[in-house]
Amino acid sequence: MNPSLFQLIFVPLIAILAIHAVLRLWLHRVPRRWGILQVVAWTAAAYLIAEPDATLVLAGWVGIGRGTDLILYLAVLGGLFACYYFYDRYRRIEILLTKLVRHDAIDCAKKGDDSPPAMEDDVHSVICKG
Amino acid sequence: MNSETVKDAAALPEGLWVVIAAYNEQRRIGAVLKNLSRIAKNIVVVDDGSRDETAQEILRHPVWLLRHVANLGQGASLQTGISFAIRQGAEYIVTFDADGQHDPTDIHAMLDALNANSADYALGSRFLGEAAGIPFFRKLVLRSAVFFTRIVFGVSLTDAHNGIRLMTRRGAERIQITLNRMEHASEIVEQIAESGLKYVEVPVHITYTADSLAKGQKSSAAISLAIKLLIEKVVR
Repeated sequence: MNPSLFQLIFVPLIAILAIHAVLRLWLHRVPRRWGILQVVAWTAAAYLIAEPDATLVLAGWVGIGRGTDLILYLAVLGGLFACYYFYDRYRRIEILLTKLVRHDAIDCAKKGDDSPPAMEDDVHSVICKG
Repeated sequence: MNSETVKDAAALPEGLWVVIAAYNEQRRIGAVLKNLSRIAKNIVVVDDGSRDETAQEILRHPVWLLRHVANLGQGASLQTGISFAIRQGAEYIVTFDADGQHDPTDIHAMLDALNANSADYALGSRFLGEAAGIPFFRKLVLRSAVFFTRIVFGVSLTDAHNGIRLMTRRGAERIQITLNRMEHASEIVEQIAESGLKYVEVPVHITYTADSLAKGQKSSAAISLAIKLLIEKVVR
């Protein structure tokens, strides 16, 4: 069977990404677990595009009738997981940034009018300049 | 806010701290601080990364200024001010808006209600008191917020998003605002309910002006606010 245009474009493209992931894992550029997950994901994607019927077999194993349905379910679950993951990271960074800004604001408290400054040690004057 | 009324009002207790979050309030904050400082000895204003001369204006008054180097939001600013007041030994903490909508003399009534009911939180209610000049749509949104708070957090209030709140030190220590922007109002209500401490609602006076309405939170933001709260509730 001749490969389709989609397969001609995407199988080599994703294969390159899989090789890139292997190299990054090999050179310890990514955490081991995350690197393995990337290699498996890209290799599976390339294989399933090259051999679409394989999804039918997989779908049969898990009791889903059609391969496209299996891919759709996995894509939806993957999307939800990604949303959760990135929202969680965003919130952690936001909370950390807030703590830093709050710490700085409290350390550099100033009293208005003619009142004496909050702290007069050298560290305070260096940190809270301006 | 009538400045003569404030002038005649008795001084608030020494251990009471007023916390104000201010963002680009250069034109309004001066009058608010002038009136408040007539009755309150301890005032802390958190300048939330303002781009105008808000900080300089604050420093003209006998109050504490804390500056956020970046704009984080009203919730984050209130938590900064509350944490600072607790460190300074506050016995009571009041949150107060920077735009002049609140009446400082209401704090007396809130303090009386708090003590009379042995409560840890006194929450201002414009619908038990007075909301002068409130636009119809704003009223509708606030009523919807009351309904939302009842359904989602199981707390029955007449005004769920009022910026004037009084709490004891114990009550303030139970509050940890993590939602930086306007969602914090609902988060506070939720944390009050979770704390198991007693709360009372007290009638207060809110005066809307064209200026405060222009600067204040847009009613249309209520939907995105509700969505954020629901997401946070699901994810947490």
